[in-house]
Amino acid sequence: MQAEWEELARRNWLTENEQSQIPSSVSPHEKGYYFHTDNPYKDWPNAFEEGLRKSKEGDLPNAVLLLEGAILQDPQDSEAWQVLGTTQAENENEQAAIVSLQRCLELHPNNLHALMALAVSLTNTGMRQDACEALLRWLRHNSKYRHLLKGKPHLVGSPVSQRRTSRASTVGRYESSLLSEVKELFLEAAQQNTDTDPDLQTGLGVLYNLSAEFNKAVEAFNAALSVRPDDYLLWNRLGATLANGDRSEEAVEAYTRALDLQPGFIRSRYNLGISCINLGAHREAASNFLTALSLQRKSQSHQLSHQVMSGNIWAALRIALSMMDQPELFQAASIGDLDLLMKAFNLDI
Amino acid sequence: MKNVEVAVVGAGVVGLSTAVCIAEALPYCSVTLMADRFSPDTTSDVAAGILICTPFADLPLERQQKWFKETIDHLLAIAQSEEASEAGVLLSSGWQLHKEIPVDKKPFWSEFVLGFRTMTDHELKLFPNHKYGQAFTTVKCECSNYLPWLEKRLRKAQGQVVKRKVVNLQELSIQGYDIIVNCSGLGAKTLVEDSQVHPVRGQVLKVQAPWLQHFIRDGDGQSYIYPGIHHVTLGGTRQADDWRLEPDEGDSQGILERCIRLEPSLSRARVLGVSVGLRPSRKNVRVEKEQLFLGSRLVHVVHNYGHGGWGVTLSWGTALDALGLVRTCLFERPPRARL
Repeated sequence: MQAEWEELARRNWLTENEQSQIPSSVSPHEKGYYFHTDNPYKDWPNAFEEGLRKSKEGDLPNAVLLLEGAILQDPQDSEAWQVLGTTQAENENEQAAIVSLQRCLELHPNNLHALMALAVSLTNTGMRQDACEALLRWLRHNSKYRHLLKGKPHLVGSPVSQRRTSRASTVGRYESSLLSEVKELFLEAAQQNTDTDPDLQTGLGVLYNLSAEFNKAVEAFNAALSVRPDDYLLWNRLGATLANGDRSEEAVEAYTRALDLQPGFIRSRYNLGISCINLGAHREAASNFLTALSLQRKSQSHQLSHQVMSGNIWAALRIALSMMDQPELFQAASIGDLDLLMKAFNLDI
Repeated sequence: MKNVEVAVVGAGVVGLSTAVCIAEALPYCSVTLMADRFSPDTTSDVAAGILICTPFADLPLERQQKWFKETIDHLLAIAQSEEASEAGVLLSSGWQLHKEIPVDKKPFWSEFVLGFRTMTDHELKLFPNHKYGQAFTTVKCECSNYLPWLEKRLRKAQGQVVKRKVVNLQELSIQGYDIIVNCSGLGAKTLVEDSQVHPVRGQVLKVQAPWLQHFIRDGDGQSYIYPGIHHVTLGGTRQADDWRLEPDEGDSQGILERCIRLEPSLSRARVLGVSVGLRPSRKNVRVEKEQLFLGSRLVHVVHNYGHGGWGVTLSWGTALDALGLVRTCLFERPPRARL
């Protein structure tokens, strides 16, 4: 329990220099992707196409299995890695998302979708420096904006992180200067555009999240939504930004839009639960976490169910239950008894 | 990502100790200490600041022992350092006297003070009205020095100090504080509407009597003589639910008479001043945390108040406990939303 909460704290509060003070079980630089061991789709024909379709339909757990199947058939399929990465992020499985997107970019270094998705995932895990660099790479590989980097040789070439010194103090200073430089480039790009570029605005929104300028980030995501009003990812990003800027009521509205468009969107369901906690609606929070967990469990895998469910959703569920003063439910969550909890909350399995 | 914003309410010895503990131990917390009164106008400033204690009825004794030990160890270390005079922390030897032989001859803190022993008959001859006594060396902590010294230490640890009256916790929540540490003492009665908190009025005299080197305390807590750096403190009174902050002439007379009975030379001492403090009393000191919805936000509140007359005695120990509670709050904060 304590370890779990510490892990949560590590991810959510103590994202910067103090990270090293808390031992973490998962290395942020974990390179390996853990495939499901018993994948019914491992020889499936057209696994990628079907995985892509399932992902768009919002059947995330089966999309993950199909995309893993596609990769097992062709480990060099960069597009499969990309879609697996974005699907794992929607499935509230950030570590798997990061590893998949990094693998995609090894195979296809200028994949703009993967770069943007990676920047988002790195932001979520508090890896600001790497998130900034992913966005810089996005700009550099984007034919519309790469000219903005002319005359800025220090921002072009090998990833800046390889050149940075190891001294913590200089890294901190360097990190904030990189963030402001990348932000300036994105603003410059926005000014040159006559039409709103929703991807550019998404990048800006991420950058403003990195600098905790949540109201500006909200504006950026709203601008992107004005072009793509049916993009549930954008609605969720808007919601998360509102929530992290202490605007939980508005966040709930944004998540609701995302979930109307994509009912299987597990990350947004998780985020909605968190906003419910912040608003004191513990019962609703628990219901949302339980719904998210049961969606994850509905995959065709024969894997033990706890391996397909996200640990951080369980941890958040425990926090909500701990506030409800019902020790038997808290106990059920501690041993992972999803069926008992679903019944207690009158949720269909 | 932003720092964790911590507000500490109260600038008495408990509030300042707690703020220092948090600011020094948790560099990613921005600590703001806020109070409407600062030294020399706090209740702590009236306290003689001698480290002795009577236990709270319903709290585990081990916990109270830990608080006492941590506080005296912390202060002994200061007394043994070059900071001692600036911090106003000194060793003080003397006697605690009893008219009857007490049931419990060894107070719970006896092993933490220095050289605790039963007084010899020879020593007791100095006090013909008392049958029994204990001799020991403890610490005296002069809050008029110690509080400004703590404040300096807080600022050095990047803590902010703000003079303002906090009327309710909601205003702090709305201002974005994530964790509120309530060290408001008697103020908790209104701040968190704790009806258990009540004043126990204490009046003391400050006299000039530099020839006195030993403290003398009657075990009933009604009469005490504490030599300090600047003057000798004579006490006292224990008037429950008495809110008068003005000195009472009758009380002064009584204090002087009782102390002269213990130490006749005091009849020649010049009275320098009279002070009154309202001890923030509570059946049990409250060192615990809770989560409250304030201004539509979930906020952690760590309470550290209700020390009664033992604020200095338990200050560092309870501050360390409060720090531990703040630490757990950090781990319990609802997770951040994900983009």
